[in-house]
Amino acid sequence: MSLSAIDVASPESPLEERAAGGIEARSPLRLVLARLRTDRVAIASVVVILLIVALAIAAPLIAGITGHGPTDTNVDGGTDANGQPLPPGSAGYLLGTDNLGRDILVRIAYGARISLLVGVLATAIAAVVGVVIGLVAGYFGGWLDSILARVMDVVLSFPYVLFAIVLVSVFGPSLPLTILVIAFFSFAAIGRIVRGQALSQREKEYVEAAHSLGAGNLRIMFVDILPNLVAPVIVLATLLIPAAIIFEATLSFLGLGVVPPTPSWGNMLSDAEGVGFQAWWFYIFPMLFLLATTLAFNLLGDAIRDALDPRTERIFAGRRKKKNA
Amino acid sequence: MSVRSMLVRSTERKTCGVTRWTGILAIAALAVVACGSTSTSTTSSGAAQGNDLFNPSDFNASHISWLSANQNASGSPVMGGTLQIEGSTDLSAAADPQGEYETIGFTLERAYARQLLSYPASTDLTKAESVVPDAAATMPTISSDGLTYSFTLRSGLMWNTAPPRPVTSQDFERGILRNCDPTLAPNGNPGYYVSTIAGFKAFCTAFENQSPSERPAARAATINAGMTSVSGIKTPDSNTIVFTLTQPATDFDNIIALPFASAAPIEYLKYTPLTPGNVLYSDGPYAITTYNVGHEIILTRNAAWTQASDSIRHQYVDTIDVKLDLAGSAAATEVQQDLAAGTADLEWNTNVPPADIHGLESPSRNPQLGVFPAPGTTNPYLVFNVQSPNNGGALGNVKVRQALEYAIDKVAINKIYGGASLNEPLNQVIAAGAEGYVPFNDYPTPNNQGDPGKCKSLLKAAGYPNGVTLKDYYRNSGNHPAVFQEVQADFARCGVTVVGTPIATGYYGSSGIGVTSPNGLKTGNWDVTEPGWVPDWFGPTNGRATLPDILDGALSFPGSDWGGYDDPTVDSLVTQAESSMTLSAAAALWHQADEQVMKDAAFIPFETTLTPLFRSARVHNAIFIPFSEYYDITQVWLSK
Amino acid sequence: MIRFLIRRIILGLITLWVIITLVFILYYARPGVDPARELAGRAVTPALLANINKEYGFDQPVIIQYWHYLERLIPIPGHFNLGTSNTNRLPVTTIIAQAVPIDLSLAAGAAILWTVLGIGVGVLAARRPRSLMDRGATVFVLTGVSMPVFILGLLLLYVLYYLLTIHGIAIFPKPGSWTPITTNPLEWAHDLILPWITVALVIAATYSRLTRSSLLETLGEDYIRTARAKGLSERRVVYRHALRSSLTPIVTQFGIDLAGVMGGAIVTESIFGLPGLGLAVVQAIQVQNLPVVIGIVLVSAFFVVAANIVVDALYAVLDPRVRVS
Repeated sequence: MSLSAIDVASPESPLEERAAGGIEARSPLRLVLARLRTDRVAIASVVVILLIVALAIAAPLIAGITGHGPTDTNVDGGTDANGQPLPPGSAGYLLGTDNLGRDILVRIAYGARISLLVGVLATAIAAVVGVVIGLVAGYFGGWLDSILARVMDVVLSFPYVLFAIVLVSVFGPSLPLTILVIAFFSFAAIGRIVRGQALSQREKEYVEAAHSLGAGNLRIMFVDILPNLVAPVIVLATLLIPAAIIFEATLSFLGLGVVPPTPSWGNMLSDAEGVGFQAWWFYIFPMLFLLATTLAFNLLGDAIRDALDPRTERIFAGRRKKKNA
Repeated sequence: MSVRSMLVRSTERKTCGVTRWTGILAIAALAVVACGSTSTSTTSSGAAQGNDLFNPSDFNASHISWLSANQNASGSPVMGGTLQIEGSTDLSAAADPQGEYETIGFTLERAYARQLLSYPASTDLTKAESVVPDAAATMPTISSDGLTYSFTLRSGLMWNTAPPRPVTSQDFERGILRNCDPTLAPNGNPGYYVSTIAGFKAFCTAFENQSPSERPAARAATINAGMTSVSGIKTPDSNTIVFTLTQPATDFDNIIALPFASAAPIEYLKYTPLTPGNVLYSDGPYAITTYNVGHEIILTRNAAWTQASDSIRHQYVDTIDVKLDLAGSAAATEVQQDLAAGTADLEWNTNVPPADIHGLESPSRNPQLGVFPAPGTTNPYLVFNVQSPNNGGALGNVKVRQALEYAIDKVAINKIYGGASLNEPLNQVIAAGAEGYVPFNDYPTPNNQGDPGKCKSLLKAAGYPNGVTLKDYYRNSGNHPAVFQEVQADFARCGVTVVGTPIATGYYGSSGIGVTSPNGLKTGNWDVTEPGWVPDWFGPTNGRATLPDILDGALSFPGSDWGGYDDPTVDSLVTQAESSMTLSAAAALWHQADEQVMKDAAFIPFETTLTPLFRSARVHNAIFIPFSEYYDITQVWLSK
Repeated sequence: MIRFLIRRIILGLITLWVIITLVFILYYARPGVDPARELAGRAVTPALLANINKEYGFDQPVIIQYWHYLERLIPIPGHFNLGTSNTNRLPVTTIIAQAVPIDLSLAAGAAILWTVLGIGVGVLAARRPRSLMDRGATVFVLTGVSMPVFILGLLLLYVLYYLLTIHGIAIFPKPGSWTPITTNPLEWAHDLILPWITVALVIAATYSRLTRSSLLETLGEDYIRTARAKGLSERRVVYRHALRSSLTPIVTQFGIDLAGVMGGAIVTESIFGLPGLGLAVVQAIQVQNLPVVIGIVLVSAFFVVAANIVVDALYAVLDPRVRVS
């Protein structure tokens, strides 16, 4: 639920020492990948994420096989005599139908597209904006830094769920607005970390060296400093993706996100609430997919952090156990 | 589809027309509000088969006995007890008789607000639809030209003021004048009186344009001035009220029986209407003693009321306790559980939930379940913005609209509203039970399930082989999003793309599909929308409480001809129907107008609906009254 | 420390001002907005609109409207006025005053729950790293941070209310139950158990993670070793020495969460039908009841900002290092 809680909850330890200690010829990236490859939890998460991605990509295929489009209503054949949804396994509906006789499996597959789109796109926008603002603030310092840092502080202390609701109530719910709202409330989390890193990086010798070689500010910021900040940004971004997915699902559940008939896991659950718990399949399946996705991304983010900096105690421990075994 | 016989009328009552304004405003606004509020979906199955349950001429047949099905009339009335009513959503206008516009408001007003005429509580539909004297001693004396209606109040009518004070004819005049108060956010109610009572229009227009935030003193001055300036209402003495009409109106009795024409004591002029804390006075058997806004309304016996002064209502229970703060989509389920358990007696703003109906009807119908008719109801329906410039003005082309008539799967819409035993597909403007109903279907599709192929080929013939793209404004609550999605999917099957915009339910009519200028529809903000419509009264004289809703473009602004349809043929048929002298002639003309509208495909009717209600086991004498679509709470007594 | 506090208060005031101004722009001064039409009710005529514009001053320059708007928010009796609800004409302040006890009850109970649960699980996990207990805690944290609040709420309702009730075990109250604590404290708690769990569990997960890592770090420090060397019992070492200093980050988190509860409360109240601010704002948005939406947004924003300041103050008291910075 809480976007801004993430970075505060997990204060990043600077990665400079890792960089300094990386004397071996192996590049840090390869080192990280190697570590991840031995991490069962990380691999499982990646598999789950890939499965969800595959589901999203294959959505039209699934629709073709079942013959049910994501928004094709079939109240006559896809609901019982009282207009109630059909349970899983009924006549061609593997996961059952919803209140309008639509195929829940097909809608979940298309819902995966929405979730991934929102998660990745919102995070990408947040990352780009956050990196640029954080880098500018941290590198130049002074009054520019003061202003940008204050802006980020204000955004971070915003009651964002409330404000998201305000925006939606004014402009009407839609997918682009949902993405922008999530991006807006996430960029500061990344920006703050990047700013802190940039502040310390700019005192480093290599920056001084670049300066004396006549490199411009832009070049130093984006060519010299930025690569050193990639790691924490990746970790944070991986953790922001599930938060964004949850945020979208929540807004859609409240009727303030993705507008029907476009299926989103959140608005499917909102529809389910209108039907009642006796149609359990209408609740359970979207829930399972949503949970699996957020869980996988959280696990992966944690694993990446662990791989980047093995000395931090990871709460989602899994690999060490394997070693002991 | 079963064959329905025409509503048979043996009476040869003299009938004349009234201006069409009467129905227009009220009906649509009521539909928007009332239908929105009762949108909890309902379902039923296995109801009595072999009869046409939707045909009002069958309603009174003993083998169906709709209205007495769950009356529980056995035993002699027991005095005392607390009637527990439970549900969700507060009244929209603080229980003010001139402000309430939803049927749930009418339900409660039955206990504390009286009209000159009213509808009796009866399990005989014909009787239930016919007005009888209430506060008036007898039916009005009508002049031979049909223009003057004279009422004399019955004796013994008292307000529960301290000390109790007689109800006067001036109180009734004041009540009618209050309808135009803009602070009450008037719906269609003023239209009834504007269109019938001489001199009322000028008063009302000026009043309605006053800023709603005016002080009580300014409001009182306006109303007091109206007491003398409106030529069509005279109160020669405190027991007599005489109305002069602009032209004859056979349904003026119905208009006077509407809750909007309830008496209003002079104390109401001191208040800013709808302000919580305003005292509501009662001339009925109960008075509101506690009004905890958003949570609870408690009514207790009104000591100033006597049974001798009231031939309609009773005062059996001591207290009526309405708990209305349940929230969320599970509210209907919770109420149903409480009714079954006996911890609540009646529903408030909820219907029996779909999941429960089957169990209540099989193996045999639970006597606590009642399924009741709403004759003449068409809810929801789809209306075209015929003035929309989108798609090159395609919706102005009758051929396009005719093609789209074939697109809708009406059985699917039925199911959204609870299935075949509660709803029946409708293919015309006038539904069974309303004046001028003769069944016909210009756009038949197999089993009423839609014919995308036919729609497509007709669209092609109309010059739109690639379909059109339509903008749909739909309400964001209840069944409305589901209806929108069904419409969208149905249209998609015939190559028409529908883009939806959800509209907050409370602003659907005004800021949503409504326009503020006569040319507002030409902006093309929306092309199609799905409002609903429940007539304000039922029975053989409700002709213009039905059809004029959608057809009169000239008079509709800012009314409810949402789509701007305006056809001279229909207008002239309506005028003739209104001025015809016999019911049968009027009915024939209404039917012709109906046919013309359908030929022009001005809208797509979906269905006509029944209402499922449940009561606790201890509730006796539960009588359904059509105009509030609910039980009459002043008839109920509770077994110990 | 005073300087630190003053800076935080100024930042808080800026945040508040930004929110207040944004709300004004969005609702009153956005291009194309017609507030008179929102107020006009159902029968809208041009003459009525003109009269409302005049009466409410919507025909005046935006800057003057803004001034009046700010004036109405000055917190002194006679000035402070949030308007009246469009639907039931109650003063918005009354609506808020009626709803606040529910939110306070929800927040107070949930806060106790998440603190006890979160810190408890965190401590148990930290005392024996990689034990069965630790792994259990891991699963708890993992599910917690990945769990959208509305899914948790729906699940609790489905399993603990619906499934139990249809099997004749009606332990938990139906949604929509609410008893003021003054009426019956036991009923109050009974009605709120599921909402409390819903709000608390997700936050408790972050707390466990924080407590665990913070405590592990502290336990490795010299003074703890000294304490152990002195022969103090492990229990005493952990609870008297280590835990105390590990709590600092948790206090920060507490402030953020208390403010963030508003977001969770919106969802929780919607699902459980609790008539608090969250449900009120969602319902007000559904019918476009703008005075209520604006009133609740402004009041909640104030509480969020105030909570942040209080937490910063507490933080400063707990951690002397902050005072200097």
